[in-house]
Amino acid sequence: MIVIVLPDIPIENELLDRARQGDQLARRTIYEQYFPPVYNFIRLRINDRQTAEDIAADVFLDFFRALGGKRAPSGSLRGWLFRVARHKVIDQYGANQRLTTPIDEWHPDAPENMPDVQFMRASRTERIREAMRLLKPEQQEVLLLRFAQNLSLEETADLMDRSVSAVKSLQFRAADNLRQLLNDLEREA
Amino acid sequence: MASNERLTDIFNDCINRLAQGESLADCLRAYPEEASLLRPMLEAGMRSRELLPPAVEVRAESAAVWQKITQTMDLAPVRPARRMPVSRILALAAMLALAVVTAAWFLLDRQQQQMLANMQATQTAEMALTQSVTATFTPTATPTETPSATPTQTVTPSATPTPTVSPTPTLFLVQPPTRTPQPISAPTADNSGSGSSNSGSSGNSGSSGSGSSGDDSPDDDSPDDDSDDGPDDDGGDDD
Repeated sequence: MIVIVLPDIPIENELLDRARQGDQLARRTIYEQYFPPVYNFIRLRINDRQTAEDIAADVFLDFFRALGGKRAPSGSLRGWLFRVARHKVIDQYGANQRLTTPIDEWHPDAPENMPDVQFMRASRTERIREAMRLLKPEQQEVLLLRFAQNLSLEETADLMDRSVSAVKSLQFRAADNLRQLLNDLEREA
Repeated sequence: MASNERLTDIFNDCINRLAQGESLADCLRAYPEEASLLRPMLEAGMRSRELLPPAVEVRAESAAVWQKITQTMDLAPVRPARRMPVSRILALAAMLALAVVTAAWFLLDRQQQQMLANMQATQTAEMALTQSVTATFTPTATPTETPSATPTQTVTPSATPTPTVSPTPTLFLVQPPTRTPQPISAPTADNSGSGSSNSGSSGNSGSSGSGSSGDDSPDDDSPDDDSDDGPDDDGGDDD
């Protein structure tokens, strides 16, 4: 049985209608709901935290300015925000941007204060980052969108300008390649 | 090919289940035959979540970006209007005046052209109308004019009879002296025929007009006249 996860469009539409009418609470709700995935989407591709912040601010400024105009999002709000963010990242770094953040710039979300746990976590993160870095950009993107950001197959296909079947094959190949690369890296370690 | 397609479908379904919150074990339990193949691939994909930035960073950035947005959105309407320099105002005024003059000239020219066009149109319409009227009314106009002209022309022939009529009364006036000779009353005394000698004396006794006219007309003595008068003399019943 195949289950396709679709975004919660009715809630999005209601929020969007209220935001279009100038409801500040609706605007704030949309921002709080969608800032984390948008920021993560940018941060997964941009090394510099400040640059990622500036791009995220631009994305939401575009969104609030577009609310009363013809460019206002009408379908999937998340898809609209991700598309704007993707274009801004491509404008900044080009379409073939790869993950290049060195391990010392990365701060994993580790509540544990134990140094060994932090070290283990950092080592894992460094290997996955290295493996991802070796993937093709479209394979990196599809894995991040589908696994890290939980976008649906249709949303991912729409965002990447590909067909659903092409994305299905792409995500399968990308995961298989990542598996092989991780095995190689762990064997080396 | 069919097995590859089925594998990609199953793999896609497992990603959807994981996104919905199911565990990897639950997902693989639905596909026991493919579990050994899918497990390492799904685990590798799930490890990409480790690349997400920490939640602390996301919260801090969320607050910072919201502040930036509110400042930008609020500053927009508060911005004071810039004062325009005088030279720019003058240039704008000159351009405006030029535009007004050009527009006025254009409008006047257009009105004149319209008036000319209207005049030409009316002239052509009138010409067309007159041509059509003469063509249609020429037969009716000629009969009305001819009767009015004929009475004035018929008067002139009426003047011609007057000279012909006037001679007739002169002819009547000439005749009486010839018919009233004085010697006709004399035969009562003498019938011997000496009437020619007594004709001269008759003028003294009778009407002077008639006598003088008889003397002035020597042609009356012509034999023709005498012959005409003869029967008149005989028939004295006419007087």
